[in-house]
Amino acid sequence: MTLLRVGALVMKLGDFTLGPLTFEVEDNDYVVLFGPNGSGKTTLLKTILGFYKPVSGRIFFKGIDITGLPIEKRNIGYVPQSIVLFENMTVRQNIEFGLKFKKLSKEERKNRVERVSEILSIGNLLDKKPRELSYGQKQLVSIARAIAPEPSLLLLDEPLSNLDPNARLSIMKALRALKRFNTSIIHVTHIIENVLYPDSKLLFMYRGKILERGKTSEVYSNPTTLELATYLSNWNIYEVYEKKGSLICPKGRVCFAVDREKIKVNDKTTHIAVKPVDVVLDKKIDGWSCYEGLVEDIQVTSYGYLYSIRLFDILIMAFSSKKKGLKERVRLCIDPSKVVFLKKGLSVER
Amino acid sequence: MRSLNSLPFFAFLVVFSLLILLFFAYPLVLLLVLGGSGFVTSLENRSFMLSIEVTLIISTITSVFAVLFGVPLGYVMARYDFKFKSLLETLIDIPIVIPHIVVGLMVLLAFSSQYGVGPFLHRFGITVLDTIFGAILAVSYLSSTYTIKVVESSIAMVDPEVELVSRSLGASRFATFFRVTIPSIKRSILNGALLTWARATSEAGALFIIAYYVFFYKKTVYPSPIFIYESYITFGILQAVKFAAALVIIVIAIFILFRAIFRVRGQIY
Repeated sequence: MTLLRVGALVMKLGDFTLGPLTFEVEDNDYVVLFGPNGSGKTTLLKTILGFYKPVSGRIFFKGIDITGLPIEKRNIGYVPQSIVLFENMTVRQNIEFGLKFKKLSKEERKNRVERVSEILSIGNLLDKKPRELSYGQKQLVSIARAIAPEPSLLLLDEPLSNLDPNARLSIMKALRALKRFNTSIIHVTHIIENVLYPDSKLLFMYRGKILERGKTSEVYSNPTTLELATYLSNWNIYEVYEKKGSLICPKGRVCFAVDREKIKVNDKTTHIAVKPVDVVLDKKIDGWSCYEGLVEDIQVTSYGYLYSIRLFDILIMAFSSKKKGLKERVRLCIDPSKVVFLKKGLSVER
Repeated sequence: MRSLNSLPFFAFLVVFSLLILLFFAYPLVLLLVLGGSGFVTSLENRSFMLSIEVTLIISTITSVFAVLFGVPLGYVMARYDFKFKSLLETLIDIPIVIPHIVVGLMVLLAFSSQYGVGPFLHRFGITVLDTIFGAILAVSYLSSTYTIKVVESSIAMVDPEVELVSRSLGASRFATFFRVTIPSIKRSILNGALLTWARATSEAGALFIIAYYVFFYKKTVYPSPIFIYESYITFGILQAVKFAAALVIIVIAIFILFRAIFRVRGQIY
């Protein structure tokens, strides 16, 4: 069932315009709002929360129009980007705060606090004051406080940012544990690695618009807009200069073999892109685009090496676990089926 | 490690800081040395004790008044941007700029029986000349700014997100204000009130005009700064210094006691 329906929503904030945006969140959905800083993710979140009033469009929550409803009447949980606990209260009082506005007995409130703190593994922190907690623990309490009233929808604004790796893992574990609350989640992030589930819905936002939407794993592997491919750093992106049969050529003396059918379908293509992992080194494969190039730069990563290889007038990034030297000549090949076709997202209204 | 090259700079800081601190401490120490011996006899003086009582009543009510009206105004100034905000900021600062004697005249004029709202108040027997009410009005005009300013700057330091979170949890604007915002700036409110109280206790200029003496329990009583002035012109400096030292000791003791109580009780964190 549809839990949240955002219809033709427009919000203006100074010179920035958000929208028009239309999307839906289903019951028990986990939706990722992904995009660069300044793309309007937080503005959208705060508009759903009721902090910003839209210029036009409507927001329906559980089938009711909540566009003009005050924040406190929406029953939507919110975990802000900056950790803001109620400093004058203990952790227990922080978590219990929202329950005091529900018609719950003292016993029910106590049980609820204990249940939430058990699920998020913060039972040992209940009698502490926020100033006694680490940054990661504060974030856990912030999440516990938001989930305690059991809202049907929880808005998470960059809950994994500014955390050290261990704290990040424990927050990720806590966020996964939220499934037990049957709450739909909208998770704002500007880092794709922070997405909890590869099958979740992803909305890619750019300059106030949703440019791409779909399953996270699919959108990530096959971006269709120049903006998303550019934002997913390290992709090899080239402007299309010429099309010759099943060859697509950027400026320079390099052409890439692509599927002929794909060219027909993607007639608005302005750019092509190839992931560095799809550039294969040291193999000669028939039907693939193969060239010899010169290693110009090497970046060491946790899983291997990222090479910048000069092919005539262009540079191509290739990922490999094999060690190569600077100025070494290497053979590289690209599978035609791995070449992605891109168009400019902002010129195409969705 | 500080390098030796910094030595002249630190010498400059230390010398100039010590000179100003000495300037603050020297007259105070002298006052306490010369007047401190008369502390007990001052406390036995009934008129002086009444004047202290009147002054404490005026300054305490002024502090309550400053918190009651200053906290909402401080919140408005910290949280909202609007047209003519700078005009409002100037209006809040004006009481610090205007000579205190002039404030006394202004308050007298504004609430006298002939102008503005004065005739209306007179109909209900409310007068400002030589009354504690008049003294409170004049002193509030001069000292509320301290509470407003302290509250404003401390609210500005509270992340607005904390209020947004509170509202998302079901708290209304009022509940958020009283249960989240106010508790988080409790310390600043107390400090602001204390500053206002201290400032109000020491006020003399405006009181010269509006409440040189007040009627208190069917007696005419001077507010303590004026009591000291009266002692000075009637009996000379040595007599005035005894009362002055007693006043200073009492005010500082209350100031320290107030801070200690609220620290111990965990109000200031």
